[in-house]
Amino acid sequence: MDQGQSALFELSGVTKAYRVRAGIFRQPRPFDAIRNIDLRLVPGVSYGLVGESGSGKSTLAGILIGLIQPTCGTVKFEGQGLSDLLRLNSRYFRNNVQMVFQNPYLSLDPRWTVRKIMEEGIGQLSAREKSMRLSESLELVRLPGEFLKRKPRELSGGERQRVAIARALVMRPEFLILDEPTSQLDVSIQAQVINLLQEMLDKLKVGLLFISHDLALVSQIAQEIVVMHRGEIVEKGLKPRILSSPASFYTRQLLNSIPPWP
Amino acid sequence: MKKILAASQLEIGYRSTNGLKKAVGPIDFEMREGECVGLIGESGAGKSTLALEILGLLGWKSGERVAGRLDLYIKRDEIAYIPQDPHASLDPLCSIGDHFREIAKKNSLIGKTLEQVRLPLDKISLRSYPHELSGGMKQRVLIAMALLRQPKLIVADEPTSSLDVTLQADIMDLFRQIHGGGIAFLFVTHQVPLTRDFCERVVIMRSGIIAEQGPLPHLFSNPANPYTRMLIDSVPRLCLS
Amino acid sequence: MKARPSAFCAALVFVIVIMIGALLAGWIAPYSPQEEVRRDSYHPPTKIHFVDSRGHFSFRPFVYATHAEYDDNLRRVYSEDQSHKYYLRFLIPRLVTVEEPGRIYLLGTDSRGRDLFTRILFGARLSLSMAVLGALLAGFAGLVMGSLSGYFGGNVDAVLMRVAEFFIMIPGFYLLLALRGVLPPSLDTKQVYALIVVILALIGWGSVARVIRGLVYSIREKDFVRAAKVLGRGDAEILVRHIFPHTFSYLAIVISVSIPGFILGESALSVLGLGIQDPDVSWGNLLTESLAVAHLRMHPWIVAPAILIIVTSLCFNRLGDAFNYRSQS
Repeated sequence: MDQGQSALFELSGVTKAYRVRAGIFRQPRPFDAIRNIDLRLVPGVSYGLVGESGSGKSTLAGILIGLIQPTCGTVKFEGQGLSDLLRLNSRYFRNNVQMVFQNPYLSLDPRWTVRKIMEEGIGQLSAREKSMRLSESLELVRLPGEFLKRKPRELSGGERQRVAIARALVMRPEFLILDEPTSQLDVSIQAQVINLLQEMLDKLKVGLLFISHDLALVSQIAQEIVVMHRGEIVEKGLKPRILSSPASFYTRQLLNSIPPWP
Repeated sequence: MKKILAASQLEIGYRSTNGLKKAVGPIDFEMREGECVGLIGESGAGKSTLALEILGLLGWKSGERVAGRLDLYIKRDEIAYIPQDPHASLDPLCSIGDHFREIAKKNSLIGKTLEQVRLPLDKISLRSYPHELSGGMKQRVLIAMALLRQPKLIVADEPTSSLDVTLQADIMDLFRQIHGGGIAFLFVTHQVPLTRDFCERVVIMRSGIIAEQGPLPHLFSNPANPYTRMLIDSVPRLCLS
Repeated sequence: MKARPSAFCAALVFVIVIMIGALLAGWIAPYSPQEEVRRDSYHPPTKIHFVDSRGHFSFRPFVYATHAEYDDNLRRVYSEDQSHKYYLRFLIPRLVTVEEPGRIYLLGTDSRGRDLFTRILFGARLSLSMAVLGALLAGFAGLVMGSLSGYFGGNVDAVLMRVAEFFIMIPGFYLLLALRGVLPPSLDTKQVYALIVVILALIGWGSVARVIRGLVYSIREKDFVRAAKVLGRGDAEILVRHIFPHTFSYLAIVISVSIPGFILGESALSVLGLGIQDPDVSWGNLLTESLAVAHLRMHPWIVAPAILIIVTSLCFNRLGDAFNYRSQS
């Protein structure tokens, strides 16, 4: 991992504990969604986060995007504590880090038009600047301008997800977190979205965190891979190394479970 | 090998307040004893609809056969079903023993089947309830329930799609073992690679009709239909560079 | 649940008609609500004729003058003086009028000879507006409280819901009486009006708040709300732009369905003398005269306000059903 560059995100000792009901008459017991996470993300790199259900990957995404507060540990963005930054200057953070959610059917407000959805994040900008950004983003996701007046129910799953990506790109972020962005899509649409993301990475200077349970899928887009299991990071490093000579038993299990193809 | 079912010019539709919407057809499809057929398609292709019609469960979803015929050469109770979502398919108020006893009375058969599906009997017992089981264990219970019927055909509708990848591999192994015992399989899935080391033949469905069907591995190496080729190319391959 | 569009249309038409009737009462009603004609006490609905006593047909409808007599049982009966015809005049100066001394009592009169049809129309102004305003206020209060509760959770939720539950727990009618009883008995009509609207809203807001809370709680976990937070939108913006619009279909139902209850609540207060008083007219105080059974036997038309209350309630319920059906499709 690149040590020289200054980090975009720096997590150390991050733990998120929830209290879960254990029964009617028992005390709720603490349950660690993630435990002791140390992670360093630098700008301009595409990362893949792989984990099965219960691995804590969505919790980690929530912490990185500022929606979840860790129970302990520190989260730093560009050297500054994230919770402080969100309190004092959240607009700066939001303009730089954006997220695409898993379910394209739920992440767009069904009552809003595409234009309204995409404009939601833009703060105070002139009308000209706004419409320029909108058309730029639509172009990046290969959607025609006339989509702006449509509503989500008129769009297919793949189109909705592209709108969600465009909405994130309108903010011109430095870093994009994608939480299982293709798991609800058909396999052919998934391939289109991955191609789109690869094109975007070439065109824009944006860092990526692609979260998925599918290691093969992640391998198509990530330069570095982080593997999570039961709330902990079991392995992280450059993709070629992880895939050819994994150090962790779990990573090897994951690799072996991939149905051979072609 | 003897035919176990044959559909000819079969058309299926769903009835709603807006009238009849055709979901499948016309299609011609047949299966023989002991065969393992993969039914592949994306969402809306009609694969689940076809599976439900073979199982005779279409009525529950307001579907009906609109045209053509479906001939079954085996009895309906020789066909077993493994549904997609293990979390939704077990009655939370009944223990798994209750579930089994609904199908088979003989305890010896139950014991043998539990061993076959490799349910860890040190961790769970027949008195356990579904909520005490993990997703993988629930799916094994469902597979055991299917096997208890001593079926000639098992229709599995996306049986691994809600499971983790590591569990999926185990379940596919189990299926291979069961198939090795001579039971025919109709394996419905949208994940193409799963069929490669399991099915003898695949049927690719698209928008309700059969785009292509043929034996494996021939079909995957020489697809005739461009849709099949597109499906094959869309599968994410492990990329090392 | 199947919708019968014809029933919905009929209900909607009736509601619109009664609202227009209330608005334009000054023009539609032939008389003024306080106008008393004592000699026409308990006059039955005037008969409208097209054919006169000699069998001549006339396109223009007419009425005869009436005078009161006492029959063998010393009951007042009205008989027509067929010597002179008084033709009905339409549109100017009011929807229907007739020359004096002809009187057009479409629904008869009360004990003081006041035209019931006129009084019902004018009464609709107060009764309907109070019920609608009360329902709107209850809906708005429930929306705000329920949203704050469901969105922020924690202590805010706990406190607000306990308050809402307190109001739900108290039986509506007793709360109505208690709140009315706490305040001075003699207030002018405007004050009574405002008071009743507020009391009705206090009864109704609790259950609205509870349902809205549940709705908001389920919506706030949806990805489009999380996306809005990630895009940097603040809580107030999210509530107003994302969450409120998703509650509108429920609010339409609950407001429509509350209105009949509120009409009845106001009527109950006014019948008991705690609401709108004479000389102002509401459907409630119109009912006071119909309370005695004897009146029902001798002057059945006096029950007309009750029938109107029933029909109006049924129509608002039907509207609520239609909104419900629409929201489920």
